[in-house]
Parts: sequence; C-alpha cells; structure tokens
Amino acid sequence: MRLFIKHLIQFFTPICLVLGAFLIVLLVKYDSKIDPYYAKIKKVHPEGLIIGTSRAAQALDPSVWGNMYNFAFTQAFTPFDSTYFGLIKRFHPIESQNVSHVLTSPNKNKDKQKIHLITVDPWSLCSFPGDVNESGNSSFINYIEPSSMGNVNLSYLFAYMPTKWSEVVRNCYAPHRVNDNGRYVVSFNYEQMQANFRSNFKEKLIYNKKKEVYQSGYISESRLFYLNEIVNYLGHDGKVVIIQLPVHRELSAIENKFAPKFDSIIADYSKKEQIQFINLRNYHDSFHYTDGGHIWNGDAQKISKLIKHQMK
Amino acid sequence: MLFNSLDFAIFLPCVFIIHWVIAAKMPSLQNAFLIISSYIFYAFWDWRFLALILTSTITDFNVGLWISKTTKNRNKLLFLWLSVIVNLSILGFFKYFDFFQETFIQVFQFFGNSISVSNLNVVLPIGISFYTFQTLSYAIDVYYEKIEATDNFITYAAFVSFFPQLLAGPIERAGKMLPQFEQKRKFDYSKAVNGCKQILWGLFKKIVIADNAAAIVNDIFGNYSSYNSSTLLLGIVLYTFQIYCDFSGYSDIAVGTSKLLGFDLSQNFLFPYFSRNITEFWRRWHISLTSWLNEYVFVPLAFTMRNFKQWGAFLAVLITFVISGIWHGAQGHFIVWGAFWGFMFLPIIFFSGVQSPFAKVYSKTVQLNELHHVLLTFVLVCFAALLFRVESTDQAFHIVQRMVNPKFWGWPEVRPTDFILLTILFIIVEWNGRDSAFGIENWGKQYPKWVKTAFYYILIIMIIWWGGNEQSFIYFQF
Repeated sequence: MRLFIKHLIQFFTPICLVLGAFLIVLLVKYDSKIDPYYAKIKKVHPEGLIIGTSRAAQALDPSVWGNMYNFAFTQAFTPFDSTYFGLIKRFHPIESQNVSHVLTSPNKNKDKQKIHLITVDPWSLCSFPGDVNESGNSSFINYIEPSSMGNVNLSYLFAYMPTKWSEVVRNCYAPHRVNDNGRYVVSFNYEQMQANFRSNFKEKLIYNKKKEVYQSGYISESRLFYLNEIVNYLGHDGKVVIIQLPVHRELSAIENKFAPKFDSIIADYSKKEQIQFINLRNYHDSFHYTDGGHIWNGDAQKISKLIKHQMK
Repeated sequence: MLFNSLDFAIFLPCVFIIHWVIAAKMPSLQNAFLIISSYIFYAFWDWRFLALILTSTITDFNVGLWISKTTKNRNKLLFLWLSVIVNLSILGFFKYFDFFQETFIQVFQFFGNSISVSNLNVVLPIGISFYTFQTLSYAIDVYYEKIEATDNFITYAAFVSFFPQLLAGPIERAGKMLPQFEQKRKFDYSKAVNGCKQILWGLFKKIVIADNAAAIVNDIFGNYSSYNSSTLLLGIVLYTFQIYCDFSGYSDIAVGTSKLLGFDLSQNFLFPYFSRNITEFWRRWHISLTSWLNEYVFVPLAFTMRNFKQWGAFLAVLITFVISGIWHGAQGHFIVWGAFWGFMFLPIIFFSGVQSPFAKVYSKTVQLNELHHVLLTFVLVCFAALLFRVESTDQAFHIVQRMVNPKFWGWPEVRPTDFILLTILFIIVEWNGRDSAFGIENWGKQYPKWVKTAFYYILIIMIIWWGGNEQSFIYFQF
C-alpha cells in the first residue's frame, strides 16, 4: 500500500503544482477580469453617476460629461431594488446636511452642476411572480464590503466567480474590460461587431421572447419605489435625468409588446418629479448593436453626445 | 455528500488511509469503521434519515436470524412478510405518499366532493429505493435458503450502509457482498490502480459529459414550445447521453471507490448504447436493478403464468417493466416508459422466442459491421429517454407532435459544436474500450507509460476545466 500511496503522490504532485501556480497567477493578475463588474467597485469620487443595467454600462461614456462614473451593472445584479440602492449610497455618500435639508424641503438641490443619469428599460423595471430580485437579494452586491472596494477580494471571487473554471479563464482573455471611469468596454471592431451580432441576435430575440412569455410583464411597484428612492437620493446631490436607450428595432417591438405602457408610465413619473426623461426608443437605426440589445462600443461616444445635446 | 464534490475529495483519502492503516488488523474493526464512515457520508445530506437505514438494517438482520432459527415454514413465511411489509411501507410512504394523497383528492373532486388535506410534502430520502431493495433481497434469499443468515450485526450493517453504493447502487446481493465483509481484506495494488482509473473515468463522464449536456438539455426541455423539431431531437439525443454518463459515471465511481477499499461491486453498465437489440440493451443497462427484478419479480411471475406460454411471458415482461417504471417514481410518464419497453418485447417474445430480457450479458463483442443494428436500437432508447425525461405524458405528446409537424422543421437553433465533438470523442474511447469493464480500463496498453500518464493528466485537466459546479446525480431522485 505504501507503494500505491507513493505512486499516487508522484502522480498528483506535478498537476497540483501546476494548478496551484495557475490559480495564483489567475487570481492575482486577473482578478478584475474574472468578473469585470467587480472591478467597478473601487474608491473614486465622481461628481455624477450613471445608473442602470448592462445597456448603460456599455453605451454611456462618462468622459463626455467630465467627472462622471459609470456605475451601471447588469440586470441580473442590479435591478432597482434595496441592494442596488444601498450600494449607491455606500459608493456615493451624500453629505448628511444635504440629505436632511432636502428631506425637509420638497425642492431638490438642482443648482449644482452635478449630473446623474439613470437609464431604465422594461426588463429592469418589470417583475414576475417569484422573482427573487424583487425583494432585493442581489447577493453579489451584498457581499461587497466598503473596506474591500478596489482591493483584490479573493473570498468574493471564490464565492461568486463563474461556475466553471473554463469560464473563469475565458473571461480572463475575453475582449472586455472596465475603464477607469467605470464604463464596461467590449472592444469589438466593426467586423467583429457584425459577426457577433449575426451569431447572437437570434439568441437574444428568443431569450427576450421567453421573458415576454414567462414574466407576463407588469411594472413592479417595488422596482418603481426603488427607482424613486434612487432619484430622490441623487436628486439631493445634483440634476437627475432619466434615459431610455435604443435597442434593435425587433427587440424594441418585443419590449413594446411586453410592457406597452412603459414609456407613458416613465414619462408621467418624470413629469411628476419634474425631471427630464430622454426617450431614445425610436432611434433604433441610428446605432449599431453587438447583439441587438447593447450598443456597439464604436457608437458609445455618439449616443453619449446625443444625450448631452438633448439635456436641458 | 456528492462524489463530484470537494467534500468527497477529502473524505475518501481519509477513509482509505484509516481503513488500511489503522483498522486493517481486524475485519470487524474495518467494518465498524466503514459503518461510521458510511453514516457520516449519508449525514452530509440529512442525518435524520439515518434512522431509516438503521430501521431497515435492524429489521432485516433480525428477520434473517428468525427465519434461519425457526423450523416451521409458516413462521418463516410470516417473518418474510414482516420484512416485506416494513421495507415496502417505508419505501411506499416516503416515495409514494404524495402521489396517493393527490390521487385521493382528485378522486374525491371527480365525484363532486371537495376535500381539504394538509399536504405533508414528504421528502424522499436519498438512496431509499436502493438500500430497501438490498435488505429485502437479503430476507428473501435467506427464506429461500440461497444464503445463510449472518449473526454478525456489524458485518450486516456495513453491507447495508456501504457508502460507495448507498445512494444510487449498484443494488448488491448479500450472497456476493457479505463474504467480502466477513473475510480479512488484503490491499491489492493492481485493484486499487484499476479503481482509481474507474473513478477518473466516472468523474469524466459525470462532470464533462453529463453536466455539460444537462445545461443544454434543461434549456431545450424547459422551453420546448419555443424550439423547432431538430433542436428538440438534439435535446433528446443529448439527454440520452446525459443520463447514461450521469448514472454510469456514478456507478463507475462507486465501483472504483469499492476497489480502493478492497471490495468488488457488480458492474452496473456494460456499454448499453452499443447494444444490437433491446434484449441486449436491457442486459447491459442498470444491470443490478434488472437482475434484481428478473430474480424477484419476472421469474416468479413467468413461473406463475407459464401455462399461458408466450402470452404469459409477455405479461410477465410487461408487469416487470411497469414495476420498474413505478420504482422510478409514481408519475404517469414512468409507467408509460415501463409499458413502452414491455410492448417492445412483444414481437421478440412471439417471433424470436426470447423468454427474458434480464438474463446474462451477451458475450460476443459488437463489431463495426453491426452498427446499423446499434443505431436502430439507439433510436428506440432515445424515444424511451424522452418518456423518461419529460414531466408528464402530455409534455412527451406535445414534443412528439411538434417534432413531426413540418411547420417546425429546420436547422437546430442550439448548436453546441464543441460539446458534440467532445461527445463524439467520448464515444470513440468507449467503443475502443467496449471489451473492458469500463471505457479506459485497458486504454493505451500498447503505448509507453508516459503516453498513458499524459492521457490521464488530460482527463484530469478536462474534469477541472469543465468542473466547478457540483451537480447532483439524476438517480438520487429515485
């Protein structure tokens, strides 16, 4: 039996060493790439925030506005709920004086030059029966403590990295990164974008059609509540603008069928809150999309400038 | 505790070392240690259900002793019935209570009476179908004097709870296993190496093939009304591979682990997808269950109905398969699945004179020129797999309806090219190893040692590469 154990150790030693070294290199060198959204949580002090889902994370370039930070994640991580709201408060604390002042006064602090952009879409504001995110359980964000912001957080990576090692490695070499200003860049050139669109668009359509069927969409009261909370909170700090980004024409048709009253609900809400709503839904053909739902990196400046131009 | 978990990767070496180093001096000490290990192994899932294993163990151990000590046939039969009632009551309650309750309510509602019954939502204890069959067969074998009852409780308890096969088989007979627990075990180097190879191959089948297939299959079956016919067909074929790799992967790990501890378990699968007809398929698929059903259900039934000749044989086969379906679960689609296989034997019994689908394994190895028979059998297996996978017979009907409707014909909407290539490579390795007990048992004997080592390293890397997400085994639900 000793011989057996000896041979077993001899057999496994090289593979353990190689895997151990590989793991260390992977985690130390690429920790921000294993989960690019994780890299967004760092200690910066921007004047304004961009809030929303992956659509905003990819499309809106903060450099167009100056000292802004793209703090949009993905729909899976950050629907409008208590968790995202809590993270926004931790990431961008507003002086308590401002908050208390505004809380007692209906007039929000709009004199400042600060701007906060909040993007909305039917999927992030709609819910369905049994939606675990409804009650604000986005564990990804709950897990991140302020003290670990910006540091290598191995415990987080072990707990929340993709389910398969193959995906971890694939992520390390994927053509995506998070810029210093928080924008999530998928660096496709024009040909790559077209190729990606061809291979992913149909899948995207099927995926969204499924959502349309299963979610039997209704605007979630809870999500609207947290949208309002975020609007109020950021409104204490500067000017808030709500934006709906364009998507591919066919996807837009699905969204329209899914939540036909969405645009009017948001428009009414904005009017009530006296904030600007820039609805770019009908700008389908003005941009290129990597999969129908996300604007191509090459058009990020273009759409950001368009929004800046439309802002009052 | 799952075989494909980090817990087991730590648990097994610990058990192995203590089993051979500390407890090796006395078989009874080794057996006592195996009982403790097995109970710890099971307690990782839910310690409360250890009471059921213990109840089943105590009952059948005593039933065995009482049967062997009494001289009156009437008393022997009474004791046997005691074992049958206790085991089947436990199994029946935990496995079929919800089903009977729902049926009861539906019957009342059918006659216009509303009935309110609080739902117990009985949890199915993992492995109950396997160890109950094992203990039941012990009592039956003692009754028919095929084996002698053991008077050593430790040995018997170690046999019932033996952790490698506790959760999903192979369903072992006491006649084969008890002598192995009673004798002093000697460490066998080549057997241990063979066991390691079998564990490796089992993990590969489970983690690389079955778990990856599961992701695609779950999507296709979960959204079958959104997919076209070829995608559904792909889903069915991939599920056929998923269930084979999942269950035979488990069995390989169980058998391999037993070899490491010095035991020989029965081979549960012998390349069933290389079968040339359905008779051969059923002699190669889940062998321990089919041989159990053959011995304790089919043979007595066929004997009882022997006067009806071929019709009697057919009825015995049909009933056996339907019982096999019910053993998997009290859902309509499992019963239809069993009946489907029963009816498939109708022409064989009447035209070929084959009397039992559960007899010995074909000895002659399948050849390349018999591939068309293999493919034809595989088509039937795929259809049965559809009946097995669906959640209801209605769902199976809708899927078939969608598949044959020309409106839904088209190229697959899901194209997992990498995975299909991997599956083809897997089939090639299995084909080359079809003369062995498992796919890679004799792989690379003609090559230098470093080639074999490199091959094993590649398998390990693939397991790690595709691993990381522990997924339960399909047969745990039975």
